[in-house]
Amino acid sequence: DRESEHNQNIAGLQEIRDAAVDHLAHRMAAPVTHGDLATARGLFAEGASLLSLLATMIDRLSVDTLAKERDAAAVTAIHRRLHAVYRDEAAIHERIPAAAEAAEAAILARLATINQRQISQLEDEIIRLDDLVDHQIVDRIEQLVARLQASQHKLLELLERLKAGDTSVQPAIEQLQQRIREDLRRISEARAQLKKEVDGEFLNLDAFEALQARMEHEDVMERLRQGNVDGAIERAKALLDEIRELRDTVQDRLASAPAERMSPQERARMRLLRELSRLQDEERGVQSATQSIYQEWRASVAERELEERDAEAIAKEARALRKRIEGINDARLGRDARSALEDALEQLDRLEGTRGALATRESVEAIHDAIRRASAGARSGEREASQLERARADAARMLAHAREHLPNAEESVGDAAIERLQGLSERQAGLQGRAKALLEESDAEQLPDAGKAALRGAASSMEKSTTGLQERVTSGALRDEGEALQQIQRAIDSLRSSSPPPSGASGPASTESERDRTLRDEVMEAMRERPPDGFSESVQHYYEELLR
Amino acid sequence: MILQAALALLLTLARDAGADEPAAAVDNFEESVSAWDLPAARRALGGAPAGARRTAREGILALYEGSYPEAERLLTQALASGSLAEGSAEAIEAQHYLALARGSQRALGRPLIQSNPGGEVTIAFADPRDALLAPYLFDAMDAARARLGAELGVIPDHAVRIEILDDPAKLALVTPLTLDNIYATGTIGITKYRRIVMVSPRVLLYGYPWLDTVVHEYVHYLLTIRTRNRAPVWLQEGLAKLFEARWRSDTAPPLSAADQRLLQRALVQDDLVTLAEMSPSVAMLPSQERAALAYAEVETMLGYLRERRGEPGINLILDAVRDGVDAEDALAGAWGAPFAEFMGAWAAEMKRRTAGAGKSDAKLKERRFRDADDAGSTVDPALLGDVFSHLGGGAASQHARLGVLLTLRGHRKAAAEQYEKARRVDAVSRRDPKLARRLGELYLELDEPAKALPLLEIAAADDPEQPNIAAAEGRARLRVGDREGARSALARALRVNPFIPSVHCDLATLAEREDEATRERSLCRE
Repeated sequence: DRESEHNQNIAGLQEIRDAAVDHLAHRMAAPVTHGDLATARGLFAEGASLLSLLATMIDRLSVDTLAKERDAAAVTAIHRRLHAVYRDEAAIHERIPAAAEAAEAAILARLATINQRQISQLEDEIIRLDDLVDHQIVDRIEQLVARLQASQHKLLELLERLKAGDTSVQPAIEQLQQRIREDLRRISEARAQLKKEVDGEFLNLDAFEALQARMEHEDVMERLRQGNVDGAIERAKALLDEIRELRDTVQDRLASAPAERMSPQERARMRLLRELSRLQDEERGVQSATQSIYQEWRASVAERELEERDAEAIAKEARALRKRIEGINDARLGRDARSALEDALEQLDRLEGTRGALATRESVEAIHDAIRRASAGARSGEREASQLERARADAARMLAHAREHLPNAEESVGDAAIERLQGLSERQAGLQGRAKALLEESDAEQLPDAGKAALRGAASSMEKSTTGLQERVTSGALRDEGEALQQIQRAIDSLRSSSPPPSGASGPASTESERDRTLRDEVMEAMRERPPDGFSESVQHYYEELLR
Repeated sequence: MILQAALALLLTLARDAGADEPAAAVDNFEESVSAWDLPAARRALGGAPAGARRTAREGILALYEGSYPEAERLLTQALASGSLAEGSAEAIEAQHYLALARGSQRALGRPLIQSNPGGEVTIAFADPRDALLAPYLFDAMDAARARLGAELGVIPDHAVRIEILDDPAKLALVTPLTLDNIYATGTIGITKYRRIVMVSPRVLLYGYPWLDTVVHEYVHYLLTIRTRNRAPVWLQEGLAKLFEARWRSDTAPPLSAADQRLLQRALVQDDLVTLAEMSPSVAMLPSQERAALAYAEVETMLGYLRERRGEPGINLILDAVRDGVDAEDALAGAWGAPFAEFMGAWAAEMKRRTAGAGKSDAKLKERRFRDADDAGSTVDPALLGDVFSHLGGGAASQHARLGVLLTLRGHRKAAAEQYEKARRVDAVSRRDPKLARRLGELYLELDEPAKALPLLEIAAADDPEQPNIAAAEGRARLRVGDREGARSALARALRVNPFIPSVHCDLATLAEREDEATRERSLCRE
């Protein structure tokens, strides 16, 4: 798949860097000043192999959808510069007969000089290759950390539900923990690739057992097994903080890449990405806090039942709504809208068998939401659209009635929760302001249109959530907060998927076709030159590899 | 210290409950146990009537004496008798000590016990692999016993019991600390119930300054006896810090640059940790920085008093505290002026001594009682930049990075050349300890100790407690013929991580006695 292909390319780049390091060491150890022609020829052949590896990597990166365009351009530029020195070295070898075992002093002196040039060039290119490798790895870590963070948020949400008494979430918690462990392992592997600590330092290996015991003690599942849900939540929150810290560090590293490898636009994108991530984090914080109050409210009203008269009134409205929905030709609706209508009917079925005030309200909310989603899939002006519009009005009326029978948060969760809701509405309003301000900043130019629209949508959902929190309708606020989160994610995705312009070091090729053309021209030009005696075969092989 | 307060409360409650016993005998017992005067406590028990209360107290004494199975037997017997009313203070106290007796047995398992030839120190090792520590620990304790005995005027009349655990988590079994407490604070050693309990340096990645730590704990031990357990936290910690290195040096090591900076800033901004804030425990201060400041304050306060009033000054304080005088008043008495005047003089002097440190960018090092292997940390140095990014880019950084890459591929000579190129760039790179360490270790591997030594000296000056650097410096010195210097460097390595096998190979070469050479050879692995 794409991911494993990309990982192979990262490994391939590491191999090239290592080959270049070996080549540098060999050239430093054999400065070709003592007439050792065999060594000089060996070094020359080694240089050809390195160029061949680079050429293959250019091809592989060109079709690697997870690699950045500028990375392939950077490898091309490295190849071009090394190849220029290689050509000069080839010209010297050309003057030595293939069968010769010794060469004139003047030729040897020129070989020594070109060896020094190769050393200097390799010293530069190895650093570039090393940066390239590290950058690929940091990029991968960033993606993994983003995924890990999403999983951790989900885990916290499930743990809150478990705390509220919903034991059905336990299998999902176990699955999520498994996924988190898997991602942590991947991150750890990627981080190990970054480390360049030279071995040799003595470590007390027995310490790892104690560290393992500590990790097990702090494991979320271990705490759950001990029945300590609060402890598990606390640990999950602490882990989330650590993940945030890790993500900030990774993003700092990406943003502080050497200046010549990151354009002002790329820096702006990085800043934007970071601010969007923070916005998303903080919105999740608001959502988590709202969820907590919502769960308290649910617990406080879970036992309430509707009066028979009220239950009958709602049932009557439900029957009328069902009739209206069943009259809609769902074949005229899109797939998502059809699925939403099915959801609404399912909730209507559920409504028939319940007298619980909370279950009734939640079903009616779900029906209202499903019809809203279905409306979005109908073509405006067609009969189905107006039918759905009427169904939506019916559902809104039903919702108002269902809500009448249960108190809002302010009446059931106490002063402390009301204060928290007030604080949350202020936080939410602050986030809305930040989302709007972000759209006004110059960095926002980097955001594609779809991303801008998503961010505007997020700000709008945040505004609705602020209102919901002020009115203590936590269920509605939660829905709007979820919507805002989705919109921010869309903005992030649009930013990630938009291809950044190549930066300074990536050479003149700015698109894939241009890059191909640049490479092809260079190869064609190089092929016009005659290879030195004795190297026709290896040079031929090299060009074949290059064009393959 | 919290535990002491709890214990005092329990004992008070117990006394109320046991009204049929002679009050003076009960008081004597409590006071003697609290002061670790076990013979006096046993004498006080002599007059008590037989029964569950007496059995429970005998169990408590057995625990203080380190006889855990006996303590468990007696306390179980007292609780099982039914004479200690359920929920009563006596029953709670007995249960508390029973849990400790059981926890201690679980933590130690079947311990390996070793005593020094004079019988002054007994060590219980939970894991026999830690017996490697014994000869070095005995030597340090011999020196500490002599030097601190003279300094503080107290020499224990019994064998000091030291227990070496093989997992930090086991501290939770032998103290009322929870696992969360231990992991959060990184507690590594504790002196309680007339014993010193420590975690082996073997179970920390790089070890820790375990010999200074054991002596630090030993100072607490002596002060508890000397003052009959009446010294407040600030006096205990200040003297323990001041004297923890006395076993190996006549003077306390100077405050680190980072500690000086903290102290300077706090003095200027009038933001010192008050002595009251240090109670019940320095470890309970809100941050490591405040804890480090607290240690710097009390260490320099008592150091300053000792400079001006000499050894008698310290003993005057200890005598007065033992006799029930408030510690601040006792210090004022030793100083010869009100406590506020002493604080004013100390603050003025410390401001002068730390002047210039306020601008230092030296980073605060983790306290020695913290676990340096912070498994929870997510800040990976590799993520902060390439391995020599601190050199700030440019040619030095480039050549240093090439040096690392070449080393990783096994090209040591080429790597050394690149490191040399990096050092030639400018004076900053020439002084850089990380670069110096890499190149120094490389030269040692290339069998060029004369080139290695000055480089390792630069690295060691920057991080004298890094055991691997000290070990490398020791080897370089040995190979250039500086045997005394080698001994000193290897002793530094031993003080932090005696489990580095190569250190013992060099110590075997340096040994002057055959038994020492044999021992070191048996531990040597290359």
